[in-house]
Amino acid sequence: MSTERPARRSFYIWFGFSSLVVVAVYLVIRFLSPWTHQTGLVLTIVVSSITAASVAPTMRRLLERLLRFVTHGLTVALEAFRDRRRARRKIEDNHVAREMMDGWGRTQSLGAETDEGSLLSDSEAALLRHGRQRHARERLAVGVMTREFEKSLTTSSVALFLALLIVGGYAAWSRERGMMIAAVITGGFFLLAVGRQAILAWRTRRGYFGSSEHEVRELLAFAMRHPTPDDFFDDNGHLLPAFDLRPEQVSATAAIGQPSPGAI
Amino acid sequence: MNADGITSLMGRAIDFVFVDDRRATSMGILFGGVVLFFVKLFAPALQQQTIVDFTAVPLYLYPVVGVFGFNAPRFFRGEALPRTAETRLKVVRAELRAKRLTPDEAHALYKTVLEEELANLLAERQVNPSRPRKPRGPRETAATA
Repeated sequence: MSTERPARRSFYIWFGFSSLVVVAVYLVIRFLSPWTHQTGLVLTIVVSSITAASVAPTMRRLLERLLRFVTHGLTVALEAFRDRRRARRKIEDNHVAREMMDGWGRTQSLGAETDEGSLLSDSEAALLRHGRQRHARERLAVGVMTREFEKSLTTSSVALFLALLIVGGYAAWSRERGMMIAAVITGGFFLLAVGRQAILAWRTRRGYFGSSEHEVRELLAFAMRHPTPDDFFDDNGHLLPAFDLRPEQVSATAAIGQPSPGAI
Repeated sequence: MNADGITSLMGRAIDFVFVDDRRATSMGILFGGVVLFFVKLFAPALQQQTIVDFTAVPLYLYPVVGVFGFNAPRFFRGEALPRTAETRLKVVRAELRAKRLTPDEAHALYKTVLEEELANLLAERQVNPSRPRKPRGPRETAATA
């Protein structure tokens, strides 16, 4: 249950992977097949969207829910057309409908103090728990930087995507050689930016961040030019711990109120 | 080589390609693309004058020039860490190269260095809240004079 991957981070990985798949499928279809350009394009879109949907756990869950929702709605509508009372009982009995209608509303309105075990399904409880863990992780010095880092990476991804649209659109229209080279370079940079985002998220989640000189320099330089150094301190004026606390250190630290003694 | 080393190396390689500043580099590429777009758009007007010839420049050089332009300020400003941090990092690297430290010990040492230097740096900035790399010499002399 706790191994369930958070939705937002897995999205980056999914996005990078599926864009790679799109490129690969397009190249294969374009160069190895006798089909025309338009057929190849349509096939690329179909194949890659199916791949992406099956790869991404979030997308798959969403698709399943959508399918179940549609089929269930159809069934209920048909039943209601025949027999209203039977249809109402069917709605009450249907586990999927109850989970969706009750659970979604409750997850959105629920505070942290509610007893989740009795009210929520397993997956929703896991989601809530994960959100709390993530909040705890953001109260770290590394977390301050990671957030800024992700923000800057998002900026760069968006900028690169816009550049790719401009340059690639012009290249597709004018078929100039230099323009195509520029478009390929821009697309490569875009993929690299997405990949960097995935790598950073992975390393932070596994606790690897900060174990090489490059990252140490990066975080220190970031702390030097960060405009508001108060972000690195908690509400009581203590410096945020740089890394995740070990489970056995948590109680001692909470009692004494000192940052963690270090990784050694 | 395990996953830690591979992702570290990949991240470092990508940062190298992005000249260690992803935002500036991406903005530079976007700037180059936009300039390229406008050069193409106003090509008739640009052909009228004979002072500069935009068609002589290879097209992929526009993003490159944008990257250079957006990264140039950082090159001139430099990015110096505190001297203690530089020294400690240098020591750890030398010991690692001389194989007197295992990679695991080096990783743990890097984390310790990062934690302590971060604490020092932030405490210093907390006491002296001015931005460290702000050039403020001329303005001060103007105020005193």
